This record gives sequence, C-alpha cells and structure tokens, in this order.
Amino acid sequence: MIEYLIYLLTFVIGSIAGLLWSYKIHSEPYVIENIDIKSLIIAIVGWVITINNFGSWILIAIGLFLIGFVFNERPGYGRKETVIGIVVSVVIYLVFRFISGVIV
Amino acid sequence: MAEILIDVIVAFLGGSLLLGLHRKIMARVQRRPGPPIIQNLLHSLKFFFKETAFPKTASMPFYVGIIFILAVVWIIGVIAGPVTENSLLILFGVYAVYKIVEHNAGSSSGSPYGKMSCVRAVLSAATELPLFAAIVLVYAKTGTMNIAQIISYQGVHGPLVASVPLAALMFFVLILAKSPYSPFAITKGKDLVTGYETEHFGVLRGFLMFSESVAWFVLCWLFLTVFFGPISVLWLVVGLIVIAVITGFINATTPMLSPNHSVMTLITICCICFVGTILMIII
Repeated sequence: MIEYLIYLLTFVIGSIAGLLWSYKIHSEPYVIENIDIKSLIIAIVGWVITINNFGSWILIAIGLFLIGFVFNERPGYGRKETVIGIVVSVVIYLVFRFISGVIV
Repeated sequence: MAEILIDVIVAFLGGSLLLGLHRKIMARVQRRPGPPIIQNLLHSLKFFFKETAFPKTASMPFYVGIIFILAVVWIIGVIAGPVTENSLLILFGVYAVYKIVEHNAGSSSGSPYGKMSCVRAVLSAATELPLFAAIVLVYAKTGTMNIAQIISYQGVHGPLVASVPLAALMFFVLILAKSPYSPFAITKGKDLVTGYETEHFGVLRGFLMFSESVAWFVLCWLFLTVFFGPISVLWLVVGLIVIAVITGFINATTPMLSPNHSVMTLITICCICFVGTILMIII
C-alpha cells in the first residue's frame, strides 16, 4: 500500500509545482496559445514512463510527478500537451506490445 | 496501525483528487476551464491553517465534537472497508451515523442555514434506503455480508453487476446522492449557502472536507469492490475515474431537486430496483 501513497504524493507534489510554475510563466490574462514545447516534452516523458511500466515503482512515481506537473497547470494550459502525451505513450505501448508479440 | 494510517491518507488524497476531477468535469460540461483537480485538496489543507472562529450561538462542546466524530466515523469506514474488508453491515452503520452527524452538525452551530440543513438531513436519510436494499440483495445473492467473501464469490461466479444490475444501480444512486452538486444533495442546496457546513471555519471546516474526501473514496471503493469483483488496482483507478466522470456529467446537467421530490425519486428508484432484482433472482 505504501507504493500507492508514494504515487499519490508524487502526483500531488508535481501538480502543485506545475501550478506554481505555470502561474509564474503565464501571468497574463488567459489566451489560447500554441503548444508549449517544454510542457509537451515533460508530458510525453511522464506518460511514456508511466504507461510503459518498466517494472520500477520509482520510475512510475517520477512519471506521475511529470504527469501531474503538466496536467495541473493553470486552468486552460497544459491540456493539449497532456492529450499528445497520452496518445504518444499509448502508441509506443502498442508498438512495444506488437514487437514483443512478434518476437515471442 | 501503520497500514490503517497509510490507507486513511490514501483515501484522503485519492478522494480529494477524485472530487477535484468531479468538479473539473462539471466545469468542462458547462464550458468553463474549471479549477485544477488538486483544488479540492488545496482547499482542505488551506483550512487547517486558517483561523478557527466559533459562533456565539454555537452549542459548545457539541459543535466541535461532532466534527471529530464525523472524521472518526469515516476512518472506521476505511478500516472496515479497504483495510480489513469486513462486513457490509459495519459500513451501513457508518453511513447511518454519518447522516446523524450531518443532522447534528447543522443544529449545533445555531445558524438558520445550518438548522434548515439539519431538517433536510432527516429527509435525506432516504438515501439509506437504496444502500440497505442493495446490501440485502447482495446478501440474498451471495449468502454473506463479508466483503472479502463477496469478492471471493465474484471470483467464482463473475461480477455481481452482471447478475444483480439493479442492485448496482441502486448503490450508484446512493453515490450520486453523496456527490457534490448532486440533484439529491438537499442538505447543501444553494439556498442554504453550504448547508450544515455554513458556520464551520478553519480547522473544523478542514476536518469536514477531510471526512468528505474519505467518504467519497470509501463509497466508490465499496461500489467497485462489491459489484465488479476482484479487480486490480489499475482497474480500480479506472473505475474511480469513470464514476467521477459520470456523476460529474449528471450533476452538471441536472438541477437540484426540491427536498420532497428528491426523497420521492430516491424511494421510487429504490422500490423499482428492489422488486426488479427480487424478480431476477426468483426467475
């Protein structure tokens, strides 16, 4: 059970960090902008290492920290990056599954 | 002891995030950006550091004690549920006491909003009817009240949601009634400000929000465990998110019912589902 507590805590800490960071970056009134490259990279890395479970709870915890960081940015920001992160990680997961299935 | 503490913290964090997600879903349905999903958690934590004021009209020490009783009640819910997988009757008792506490929290502050909420809490005890009926039907089907044995039963015979779907629906209606901004949430109608919570500030409000988060986690966990059988943690998380999405969507698109309509709707759903399930079991 302790690992789930760690997952939740890392997600929450990542969320708070992301919220503070995005308010620091975006102090202007809300405007719809293009995709933020930094957030996109963080989201992709986070979702890939979480969904493609490499068997390490530390990696999953880091992944959840990164997911929370982008997912809980200032309202309106980080949505597109999160969706792209999910799509990329699911595609990578399916490709790995397909390759491992072919090899087996 | 450590396991209980860890489970309570997990229930609090998980429940808070799910309630935050629920609020976010409602906002998105209403075409608003909505707050981040950690907003509910941040609110809960914030109240622990705020000044605690006591109304002159409050009946002390009842006013303070009832809040801690509420927190203890749901901690017992965590122990009887996720920790020990004990009897469903204990959880029914927890929910019954929770309704009494809700009633008393409203009456103890002396606020007219709290008092009105207190009266409505008596009416909203109708939500216990679906819970009790669902427990009876689960017992009729499985022959046990023990959650661990119900899980084992489903491991052999398949999930109960397939064999007694109307009982599952009844339980889901209970969860819906407990969710924020629900059409059945008459104790916290907008006409009552925040209902029985109106005159609770600082640490007391923090404990109220803590209890609500834990309660939400326990009820959703119970629903998924009792009706969807032995499920992995991943599917449990998916189920919890799906419940938050469905209840958020329903609450965002339906108005709050008046107290008498709310009670009659709950009782009608309960009667239809109960009779339907009995017929399904007999036939």
